[in-house]
Amino acid sequence: MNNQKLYKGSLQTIILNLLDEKGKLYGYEITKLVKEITKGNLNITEGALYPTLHKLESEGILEVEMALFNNRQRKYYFLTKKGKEEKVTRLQELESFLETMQHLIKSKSLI
Amino acid sequence: MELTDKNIAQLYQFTQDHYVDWYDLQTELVDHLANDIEEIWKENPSISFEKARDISFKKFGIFGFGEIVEKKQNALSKQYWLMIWKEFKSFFKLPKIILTLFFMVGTYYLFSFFNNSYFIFSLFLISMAVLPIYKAIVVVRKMKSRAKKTKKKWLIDGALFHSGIYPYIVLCPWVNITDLFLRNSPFTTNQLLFLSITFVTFNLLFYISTEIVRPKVQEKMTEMFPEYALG
Repeated sequence: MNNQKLYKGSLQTIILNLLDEKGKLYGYEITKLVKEITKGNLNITEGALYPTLHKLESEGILEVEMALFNNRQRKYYFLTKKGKEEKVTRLQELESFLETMQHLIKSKSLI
Repeated sequence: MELTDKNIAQLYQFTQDHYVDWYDLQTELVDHLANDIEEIWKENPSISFEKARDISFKKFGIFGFGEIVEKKQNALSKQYWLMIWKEFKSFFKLPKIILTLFFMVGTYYLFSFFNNSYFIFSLFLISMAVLPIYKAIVVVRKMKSRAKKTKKKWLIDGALFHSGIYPYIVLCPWVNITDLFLRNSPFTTNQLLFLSITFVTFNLLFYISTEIVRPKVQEKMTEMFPEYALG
């Protein structure tokens, strides 16, 4: 089974967690960081990244600012106050999900 | 190796050739492509700009930028409506609720007073259609002027129009207006109450969309893209 499908549902949480750690990031930087951290196991596609970022922005979870980099404009994303609270909630949900999955996988009744 | 100004201009043109007409979205995609091209060049400096650009574009998948555009438009509409809803709710909490109730009661008495004067009464209801149409004309002119002055199209302008003005033209209670011309007896108390609440709610939403939220969104856009203010 393709690992990417397993990660897909957690994309928003991954982005929120990264932004909480790094402060502010731009789109390309997020894809690169995720690839580095997961040693290439998770490759966020461009087609999935930007709609996710734009959705989080529309929900007031992310705020944006522009900055000039070399000869081009760059759009940075960072967490709003609501975003920081959301990150905590989603991490808890993810941890709870992982714990449940662990129980399910280790359950003898499944073997 | 870094991209030249000419390369950046080529990337803007490339996004436009792939159906991304709006500068506010093009900018983010151009930066992404530029970063990726520079990364590709680090590994293989001999590769041409065009080849590296095409490799990078393929990573956006078979739909190219299409899905990003569509979802960005949806996200902008959602963001705009959430802001309108937040403001709208504040008019039903203290202290603003006093003003809202004052307008509702005032409108009820005004409507009751003119209940027998079909012509004057119809003017109130027709204003619900005229105001959004007038505002739509002003906004479309402004959008065209901004596009002309900045030589750029702005996705936010389309979203502000489609979410903040267009619905009021469509939602306008045409049925009530038609009914008004056809009716041959005054409205009942319940009908007057319903009309007063609808009238105030409609105008309140329209006011919030055009006079509170729209300027806020445009102010943020100007912060991000100073040239946006040129329009």
